Order: sequence, then C-alpha cells, then structure tokens
Amino acid sequence: MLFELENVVYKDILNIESLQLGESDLTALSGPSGGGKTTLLRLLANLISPDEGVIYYKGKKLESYPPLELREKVKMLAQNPRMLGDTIRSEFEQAAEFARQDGYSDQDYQELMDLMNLDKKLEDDSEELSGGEKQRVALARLMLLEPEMMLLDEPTASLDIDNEKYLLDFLGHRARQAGSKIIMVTHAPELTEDIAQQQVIIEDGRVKGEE
Amino acid sequence: MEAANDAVIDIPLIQLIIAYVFVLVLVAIVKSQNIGREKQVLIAATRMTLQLVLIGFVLEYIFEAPHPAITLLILLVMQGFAIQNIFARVSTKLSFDMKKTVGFSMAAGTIFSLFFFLLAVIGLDPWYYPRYFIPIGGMIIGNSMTGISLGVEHLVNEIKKDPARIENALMLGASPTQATRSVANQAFYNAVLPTINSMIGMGIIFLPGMMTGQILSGVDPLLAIRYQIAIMMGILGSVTLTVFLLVRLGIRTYFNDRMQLQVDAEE
Repeated sequence: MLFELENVVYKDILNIESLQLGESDLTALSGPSGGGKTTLLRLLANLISPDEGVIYYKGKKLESYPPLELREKVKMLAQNPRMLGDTIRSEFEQAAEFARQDGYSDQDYQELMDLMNLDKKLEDDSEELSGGEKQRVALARLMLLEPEMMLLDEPTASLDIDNEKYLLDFLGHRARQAGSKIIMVTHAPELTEDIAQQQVIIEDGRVKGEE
Repeated sequence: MEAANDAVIDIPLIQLIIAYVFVLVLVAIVKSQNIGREKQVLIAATRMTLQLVLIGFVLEYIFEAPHPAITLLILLVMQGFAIQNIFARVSTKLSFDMKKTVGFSMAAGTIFSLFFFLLAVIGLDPWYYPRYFIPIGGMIIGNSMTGISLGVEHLVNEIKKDPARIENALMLGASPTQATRSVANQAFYNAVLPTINSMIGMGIIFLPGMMTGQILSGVDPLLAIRYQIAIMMGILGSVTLTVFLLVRLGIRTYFNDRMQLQVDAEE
C-alpha cells in the first residue's frame, strides 16, 4: 500500500479515519466540490501537514522523509497549473531543473506534446496558451520527470469531451505500463470507471464510499 | 566677502537671516493664492532650523571629544531610526519574522560595509573618528534603508500575488530557493536599481551632495571625486549586501521545516 491515512484531520476540511490509497495503478477520487479532495492531494504531496493523525508513504511516516526526497518520488499537478517559464520548451527545462534531472532533448519534449494531442511548437509562448493547453503542458512536464507517484487534480477539467476521453484513456494506459502510479481527482467519476481500479468518494471531508 | 583662495566663505548670522526671505516669499505666494499651506511651510522651516542647530551642537561636541562609545551609540541610534523608517515606509504588513530579518539584514550588511570602507578604503585611525564615521555611516545606512524598503515590499507583494506559482514549482520537486528564484531575483533587482541609476547619472545629470559639499568647503575637485567614487562603491556594496541578506533570509520566513509554503495557495 503506497499511502495510508490514520485519523487524519486537517482544519475543518478533512477528517479521515482510515484510508489506503494508490495500491492500484490508477486511483480516482470523486465527490462534490468543496468536499476536501484537493486538500487530500495537498496533504499527500506534503504541501501541507495534517493537524492530527498520520500519513504513511510506503510504510514510512511522511514527515520522516526529507522533504526533497519525498517530492522526488511524489509529484503533483494543480488544477489550474501555472506556467513557470516563457516558452513551452522552458516549461520542460524548468521542470527538469527543479527535479534535478537532466539529459532530455527537444525530441523528448515533442513526443510528450504529441501524446498530449498538443499541436504547438516548443518555442510558443506558454503564457499565451488556453487553459486546456496549459493543463496539458503542465501534465506533460510532470510526465517528463516520471515520478513513482503522480497526484493529479482534475487534469482534464479544462478540456473538451473528446480530449478528455482521449487523455483519460492515455493516463490509464500509461499507469498500467510505466512505473508511475496515479491518484487523480475527477469531476466525472463515470469517465474514470473503466480506467481506475480504485474509486474513492470524498464528501464533507470524509470517505463516503470506496470500490 | 571675497572668495579668496580655497577658504570657505563664512556666513555671518545677519546674512543667514536674509536667507529666510525665501521662506517669507513662499508664504506670501501661498497666502495670496489661497493655497492655505502657510502654516506647514512655517513649521517645516522652523523644524529644519531647530533640528540642524541641535545636530550642529551635538556634532561640535562629539568632534571635540571623540570617544568610541559615543560613536557606536550614534551608529546604534541611526540604525534604529533607519529600521523604524523601513517599517513605516512599507505599505504591506510585515510578519514578526520578516521584521527580524529586516533588522538583521540592515545591521549586518551596513556594519560590515561601513567598517570595511572606513578601515580598508579610507584607513581611518582611530576607527571611531566621528568626523568621518558619522557622515559616511549616515550615507551607507540611508541608502541601504531605501534599498531594503523597496526589496521587502516587492518580495512580500510578489509572494502574496501568486503563491500558487511557487507551490506549482514545489509540486515538481523544487527546493524553496528554486521555487522562489524569480521572485527573489526581481525583488533584488528592484532594490538595487535606484543605486545603479544614480551611478549612471552621477556627474552629468547631477553633482552628488557629498562631492558638492566638499568642493564648497575648499577640497580639490579631484580629491572630492575620489571620495565620491569610493563612497558610491561603499553604498553599492552595502545596498547589495543588505538586500541580498534580506531576500535570502526573507524567503525562508515563508517556509517551514517541511519546505511547505506558509501562505495559503489553495484556490
């Protein structure tokens, strides 16, 4: 089991007695908005710490990992991702630098762009992209780093339905093939039914259902 | 009086009083135009007179009997006022940790630069000789104060403006230093820019105050420019050092030991 939560409380947003996440290749978190899904991802990504309770990653308490070591393994994609460079190429370069990884080429970037169905050039200004394009560039720069755990906050929220289906299929495929496991928040659980092996419903900060 | 040789022309008290004609003219103009600020003009002129008379006597007293403790006390008072002034000038609210960082950066950066300048460049002996120590200290502290005010304001505002951007970098595995690099660099640049600009205009657009003063008091212009160049280097060094400390240490006040950003970034 990758993540285990025990009596985790965060403000009045989240209160989870017991939850195990991420054993399957792809886990989908769903539930009404404002229910605490994003907060749960942020806790797992060590962006915030719980007020009470313990979170384990691979059997070790989260706080016993040096922060950078943990973020090397577990990386997250925000729902409204920010661009960190000027061009699409520099988005990839920044990500590689932040992760202290190198040896990538334009070809690697271009491959990821193609996989994301992004018809853009690497020199294109990343701030000029639409919301959906930014989301895909941000997902691509995250995938470049191949972390062992990817936490995705509604990665298809700004996409049209065709692109959304395509990307979800792709993620499901990727999770089965590559070493990366995925925990993702989704606004449409019916779309993730086929690809997710574990589905968790979070409502009012609590686990309301699991299958 | 004839402007003979290089001696300073004395201003007798009577002639000094004549200078107040300017104030009367200004008050008359303000009054005739119904601007209604004559009281403020008079208060400002009076304040300036009293403050300068007071500092004149203080300096006279200190220069006559130089003492290291008194020099250090004055340095301390200048630092205190400068730090207070930064807090008053910055329009955003500063956390207690950030205030401590401002104080430390000011003190450490200016004291190091001041002593380096006085001892290595001027070769001041004894080191506490107030005729040099106090005015040079004032220039270094004053300019660093401006630099830090700009730097801290920019830093705080930029982090608040889009904390999610910093967090997005953390999500990819960036260290706090990496995640805040563009914010930190921009704050640093904004803070040292006025100093750099003033060096560019110096001698052409304006003659700096210290150099003007030295020339008026009979110092050879070629010696006066040496002092001016040296003090500009001292100011540049001090501004750079204080702002660098501020930005580096200031960033740290925004992260805890789990490298989590302590500003709410959730949308």
